[in-house]
Amino acid sequence: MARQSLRTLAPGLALLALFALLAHTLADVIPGLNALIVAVALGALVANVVGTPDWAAPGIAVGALLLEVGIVLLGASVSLAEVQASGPLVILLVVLTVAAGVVAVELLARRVFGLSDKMASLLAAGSSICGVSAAAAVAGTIDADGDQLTHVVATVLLFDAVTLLLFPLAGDALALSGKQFGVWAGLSMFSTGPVAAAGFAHSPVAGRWATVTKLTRNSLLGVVAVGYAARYASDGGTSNAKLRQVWTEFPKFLVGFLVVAVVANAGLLSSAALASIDTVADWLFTLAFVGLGFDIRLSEMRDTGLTPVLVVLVHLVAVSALTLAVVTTLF
Amino acid sequence: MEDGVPRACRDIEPVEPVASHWVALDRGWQATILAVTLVAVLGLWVV
Repeated sequence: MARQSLRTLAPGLALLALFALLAHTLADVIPGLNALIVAVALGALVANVVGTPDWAAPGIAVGALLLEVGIVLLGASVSLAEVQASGPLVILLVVLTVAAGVVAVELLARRVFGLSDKMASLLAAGSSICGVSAAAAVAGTIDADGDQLTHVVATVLLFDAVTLLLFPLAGDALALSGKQFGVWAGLSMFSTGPVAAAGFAHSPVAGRWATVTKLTRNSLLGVVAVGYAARYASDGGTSNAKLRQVWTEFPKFLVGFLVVAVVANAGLLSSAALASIDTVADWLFTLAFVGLGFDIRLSEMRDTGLTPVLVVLVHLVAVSALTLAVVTTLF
Repeated sequence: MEDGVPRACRDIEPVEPVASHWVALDRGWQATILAVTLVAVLGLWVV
């Protein structure tokens, strides 16, 4: 079984490696080009022009695992002293942004756009916390229909693709510092992968702050999902089953990120080892972002309902503008 | 023994139980195990 699995994964992994190499080569040759953005673009180009080959699909899917390994390794380059200094402020911003985002999307979706309660809750969770994982976790706790979840996931993926392109451009145009851009992207964008990609597309500092801010936001998934479970408790389903669903969707790599951050900050790793870990994480991100590109399907985005897109668009514009003003003032 | 046919010792792969446990593991835990192993290996070998 093990050998068969490796044989199944090898072609897709080789394709990821080939495109990652190509992305780095192009970025080295063409000034101003970012390897991570090129990696996403190459994956998206192939997926949308010729489609994902069947023989490569299993290996390409491993990109999601490589992304999480890269994020855990990123813990080694995070200075806990620096996080501790800005930590309370970042945590406060995350809590306020998530709370305001959930309430605003709930009200907007129900009162202004007339969406169903469950659809509104899925959109609120997906856009305020951690994209697809949050939507799936909340869908389990409120017993939402598969169809509703599909629409929300498509909407989130659409905005992941758009923000991945626009945020780095906006960061450059506004001449934001690495920390400002990282915290802004971490507060405003949706899924963890695109947030990290946009951050590193700006600068390594922005990449680290984007990831730390986004992981803080992700950690609120449990609180929000349990809140929704309590809110919809009368709609049936045992609370134990709902809590299990929340735990299933909870991003466990957060634990690994904290472990690696503590080990690195305890001074247990030499500077040469830290540099090697950084290089490995860079390559894992490039491989993962090629895979992320393969997930961008323009045809599926066209099928997304217009109303959920409008709700999320209003939310994204409002949150981005407000957090940009706050971040540029405070950092 | 499977369907009444005994398996020869050479057919039994000791990696199979490990592989099936690995596949059943949540992706977040897989990422944590892989990354912590990498950190341990690089931390010990790259000085």
